[in-house]
Amino acid sequence: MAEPRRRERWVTRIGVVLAMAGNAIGLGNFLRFPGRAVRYGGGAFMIPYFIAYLFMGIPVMWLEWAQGRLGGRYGHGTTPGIFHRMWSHPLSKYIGVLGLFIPTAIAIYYTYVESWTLGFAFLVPFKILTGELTVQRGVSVEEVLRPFEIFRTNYVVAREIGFWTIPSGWAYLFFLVTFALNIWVLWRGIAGGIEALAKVAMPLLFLFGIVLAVRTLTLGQHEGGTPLEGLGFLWNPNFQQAFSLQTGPRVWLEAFGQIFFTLSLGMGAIQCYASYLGPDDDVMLAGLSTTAANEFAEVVLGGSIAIPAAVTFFGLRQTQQIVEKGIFFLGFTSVPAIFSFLPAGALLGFVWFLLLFLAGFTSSVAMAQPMLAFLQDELGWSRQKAVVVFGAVWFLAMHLCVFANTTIDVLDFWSGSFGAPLFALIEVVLMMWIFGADKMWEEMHRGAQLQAPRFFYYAAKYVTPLLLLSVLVGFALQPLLGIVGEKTVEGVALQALPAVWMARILLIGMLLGQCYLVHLAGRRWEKVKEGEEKR
Amino acid sequence: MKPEGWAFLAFGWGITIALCAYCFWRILFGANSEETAQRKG
Repeated sequence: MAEPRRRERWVTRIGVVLAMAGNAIGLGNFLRFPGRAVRYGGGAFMIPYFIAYLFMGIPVMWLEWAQGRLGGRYGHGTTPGIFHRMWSHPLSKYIGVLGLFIPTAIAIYYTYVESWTLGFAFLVPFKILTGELTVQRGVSVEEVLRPFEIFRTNYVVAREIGFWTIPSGWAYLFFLVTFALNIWVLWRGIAGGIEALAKVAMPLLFLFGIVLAVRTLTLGQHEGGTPLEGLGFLWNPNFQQAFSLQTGPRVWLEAFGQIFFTLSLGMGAIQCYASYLGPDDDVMLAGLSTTAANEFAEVVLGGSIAIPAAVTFFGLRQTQQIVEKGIFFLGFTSVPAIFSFLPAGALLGFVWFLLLFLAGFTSSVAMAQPMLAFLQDELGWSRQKAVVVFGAVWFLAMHLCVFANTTIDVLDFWSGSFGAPLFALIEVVLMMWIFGADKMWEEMHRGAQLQAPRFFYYAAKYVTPLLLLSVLVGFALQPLLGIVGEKTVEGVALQALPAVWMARILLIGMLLGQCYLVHLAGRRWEKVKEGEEKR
Repeated sequence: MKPEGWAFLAFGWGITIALCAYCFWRILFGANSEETAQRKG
């Protein structure tokens, strides 16, 4: 076997763990989790949540780390090459295309959403300071929130022409800045870019999270109640909801989905990062640490900011309504409005949005990296060439989300809700049933500093696929089969159907283009093999 | 907050903080940590 081209490596172990944690920790930790917990049983939500963590989150995380490190040993940083190496079926490399398609599609819309957090970090505190976003106490909650909601709406959509949404100049400017920052980090490579970013961004993120959680929990009595009542809103268990036949299945499904999505499983990004490990670097302790850091950011920090703050100022009923309006309303409208009441509110608002930005930034570079790794590893491109070419395509594609923002939901549905659980299911079956559970178990423990209890072997082989199947059915097949009324399967209003189709065409084009690139890579692998045989 | 709420909070926070502390302690100061390796030369 020819020596694979020298690939980059992580420099430190804490660096790779922080980069992996940065990939997993995103906006969902601070916004999606508390909203889901409140809506689906409070403390009782944590029962299926931790069951899913044990039976699905940890095993899949270990498997993806081990799979990535195995691929890296043979010079493959992405799933087309890794699948080809693990299963010598002609189709395997094309199934692996999903590990390029999913992160690329996510990078396209996620980076734009991430840019809102950067924009809000600078604009919201400034407008609070100048008085444009100040509100008087004692007025109704709707009046408190209205200026913040108007600001948010106008920021994202300054003008609407049919299904086209023209953003504000600020939104476009911060979109350019965010994109440039992503390109800068990716240009600098694994150790000099992604690892260096993680080493600065992740400690800052945890510091900001702890500062905001402490500030929220020490707010004392206000109009709506106390922070303790807010914690109670999130943690008091509703066993009836979690265990009744009518509502229980939805609670359990939401908990499974939360664990799956929060850990960024089934996207191909974890394998890509793990491929830059040394052949005998530990993946067990490092993989477990990634999940632990993510859970700390979610359960401890995520649960202690947005919801307790909202209950303290607005009360239980209004907070319930805020949660029903979605995570963007909670994070972009409600939280800055609350902070505007407090001393140094502008600074707290800045810290809140910078926290969200760091969470998004470390995730978006992880979503872009697989395609860059593929171009380098499988087509032999230099990193610079890969960044320039992929960056140009990425930049153009993002404009669809900028100027027709209903396409964000379409991309999110097909890559996140449908693609990721499907791909995770495929990869677990490939690893545990086709490649072989015993070989995979051995691979996981190569150089390991942690011996996993045998329980996880059986969990990964028998239980994890079932849980992944339930997430796939619940989050993707159910909407696909239950097309109703005035919305598309992606949950977009029918009036925006042209935009929906533009996004679908983009996705189909991207998938076909990536299949063609994998075909080219396959021909390269064959040539290498022929060369070896001749020798 | 109800007593059951406290129990769930203690469970959720406890398990998360303990696991996080254990993992990062081992990575930073455990037998094969970079810090230990450097100390041993």
